[in-house]
Amino acid sequence: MASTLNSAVRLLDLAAGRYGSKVGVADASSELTFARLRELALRAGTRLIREGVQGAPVIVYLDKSVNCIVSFMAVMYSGGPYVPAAADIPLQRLEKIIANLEPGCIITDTAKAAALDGIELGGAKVLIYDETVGGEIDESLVYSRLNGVVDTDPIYIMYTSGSTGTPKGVTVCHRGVIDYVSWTSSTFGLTSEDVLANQAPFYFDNSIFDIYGCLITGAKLIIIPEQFFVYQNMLPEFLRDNGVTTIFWVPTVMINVANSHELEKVELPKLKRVLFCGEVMPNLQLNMWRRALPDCIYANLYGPTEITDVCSYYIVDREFEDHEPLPIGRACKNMRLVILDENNNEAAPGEKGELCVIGSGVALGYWNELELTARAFVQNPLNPSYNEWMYRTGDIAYVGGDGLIMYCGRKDFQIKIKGNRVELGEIEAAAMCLENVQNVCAVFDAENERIVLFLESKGDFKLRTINKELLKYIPKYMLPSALRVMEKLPHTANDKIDRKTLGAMLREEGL
Amino acid sequence: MDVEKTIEEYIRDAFEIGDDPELTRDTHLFDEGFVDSLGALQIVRFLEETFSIQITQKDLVLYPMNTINEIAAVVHEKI
Repeated sequence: MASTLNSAVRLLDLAAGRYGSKVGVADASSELTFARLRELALRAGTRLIREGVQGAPVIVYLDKSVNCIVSFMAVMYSGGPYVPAAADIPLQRLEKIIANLEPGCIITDTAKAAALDGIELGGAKVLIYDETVGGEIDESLVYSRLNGVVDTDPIYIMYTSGSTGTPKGVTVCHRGVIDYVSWTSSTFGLTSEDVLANQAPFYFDNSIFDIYGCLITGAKLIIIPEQFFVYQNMLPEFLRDNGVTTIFWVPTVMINVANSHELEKVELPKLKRVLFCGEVMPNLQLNMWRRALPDCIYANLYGPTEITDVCSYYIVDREFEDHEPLPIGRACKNMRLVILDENNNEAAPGEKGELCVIGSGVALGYWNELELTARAFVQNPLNPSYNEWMYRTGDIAYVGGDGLIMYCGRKDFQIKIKGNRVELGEIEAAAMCLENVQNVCAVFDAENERIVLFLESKGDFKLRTINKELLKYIPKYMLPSALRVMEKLPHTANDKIDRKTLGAMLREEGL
Repeated sequence: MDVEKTIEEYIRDAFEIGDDPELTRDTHLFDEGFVDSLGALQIVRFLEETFSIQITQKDLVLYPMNTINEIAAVVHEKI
């Protein structure tokens, strides 16, 4: 039973025992059976323990591939948390993460190891992936370490955008992941016959469904080559040719696939479950999917990184008009949702308030950031009797007449762009590093789903050149897609940049 | 037909790049911000119509299709 496990890597032990000769994970160039995945992870895990990581976090800095999965499992065998870093992470951002994290090791490849030479590693050892999986296995060493893990220990740390320009390390525990995928596999009926096509980057919490959902059921995980997210119209063919039964994608990708009209041309008889999470899914495009594939189960899932992945869900069970919003539904098993008004009282049905989450998926906090943690993770104000850890999402929601929760938006400057969570402040902090710029403001143009960067400068700037410079500090998904240079940015009476005026300018004049 | 030239002229015209010398036949069209993913769809439609070919997901697994030369390589395989 998954509920008695102390570490999520025990799911791999179980899968290797039951489905050892079955392919567990595949990418464009290789595939691993569950037994082989376990063997490689035990080799690398042995090496990590011998390097003396002693439960310290380990950064996995590799191209998206089966090697990442092997490394994540290896770090768990070593008893510590893993930290996924994108292969194209800006080095300055990685340096900030390393300074906050104080990792024991970084697992990477030779090309990236050379790039690491230029940044401050704070004493972290650099291990080359190919070498870590080439050594021997010491099972008694690994299992004596693993037996010391408890399920409230951290399993991974995922860095998410921080409003001051420094990313925050969301620290999640084993119990959160184990409970979550026990729920997903039973709710959606996944079995070892299923094939999942992974879209989510591994530094993004949606990938937890894919990775651990396959381990707990023995299903096969296919990592979709990155190229398909440029040529998204090719995705339906990829699903068909690989016999994919289940997808859990970010709405932006589902929207682009729907708009390409390929679903009308490519038959997908094997696809059974279409799940989505990470931003609002419009019914206009969902209806295009439903018309093309009427027999699939569709589910709208909701949850921030701070609650593991998903805390509420809605299985689409009726027709929706194109313009209607989809509910985010009800709490998942072992999760409780509370909507608090401005005075920290429970909001009445229909009344808007901040969505707050209690349950085993709630993260342990932000790594090495006790103050930030204390602001978002709080004692449930409705409970005077005992300690009850609650995460305040910053999302505004209400309970509809049918008892289903409806999402309304944010209470701060955090936005979602193509499913990625972005703090406008992080873009502004990067833009302030540009030469010849006096002041900056990043505004989200919701109507056109794009980030507009306003610069106060007398210089002449081109968006493409600026973005090249910004890429040194922030990831590609945060780049602005429009630019406006002004001699002076408008200010409010108390001398803050006047975001409202800038937003109104966008709506009235365009750019 | 000069495949590379045809593709380059189409991309310069369709994505309003004009004669910008920063775009070469080996420039990463997407990472360098010349084309976005909606543009990728347009490129595939253009190739299929102009050269009367079908581009499949298998081509995409084998070829990266990120630069003009890489895109032309797929076309050369098929015509």
